[in-house]
Amino acid sequence: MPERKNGANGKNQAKVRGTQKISKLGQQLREISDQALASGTKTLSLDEIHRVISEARGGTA
Amino acid sequence: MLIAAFKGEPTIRECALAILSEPGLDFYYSPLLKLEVTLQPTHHGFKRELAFYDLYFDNANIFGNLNHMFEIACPEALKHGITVMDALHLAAAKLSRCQLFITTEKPTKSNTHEVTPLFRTTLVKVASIATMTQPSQARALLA
Repeated sequence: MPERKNGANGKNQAKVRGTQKISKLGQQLREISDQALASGTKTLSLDEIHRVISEARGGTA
Repeated sequence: MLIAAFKGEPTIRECALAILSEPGLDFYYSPLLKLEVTLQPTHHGFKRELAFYDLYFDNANIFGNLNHMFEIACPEALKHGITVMDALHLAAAKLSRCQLFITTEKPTKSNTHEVTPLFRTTLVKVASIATMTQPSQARALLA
């Protein structure tokens, strides 16, 4: 749930990736995800993501 | 959206990461969201996945007043047929004064083309990354 605030945000400073400015948070999250996928974490389709959420909520997929 | 950003298929992952990488945003979450996404990786001992979520939660803001969330969520769920947990998430977004609630839910049901209940709320603007094909569409949401 994001909200844009005016001015700089100390928690989420910008860096540049290619021509695109990205936040430090985004850069760090991508690094962890890249490492996980490179080491064999299975990617999920949209339906599979929804099933994971449904299971966490205790429902049936 | 967090699960999509960590291990979604390439298109949805890039769209989710584009949002999480946008400079100058403040992110908000409820403790219920944290429990939802960390439940399975904690149970299965998926350390990298937990590290991903922990990093996000360390950099986001929590709205944790469950009684207040319930007061807002209850009538909204009953009015629009929104699932209990989704209504609680929407209430947290409303109470945190978020400008946008981003989800991987599709805006319409694929079989009937009816508006998905989550998108019927008036508490907060809801946007989906489910039908996006490139990260620029995700960034455009935030422009």
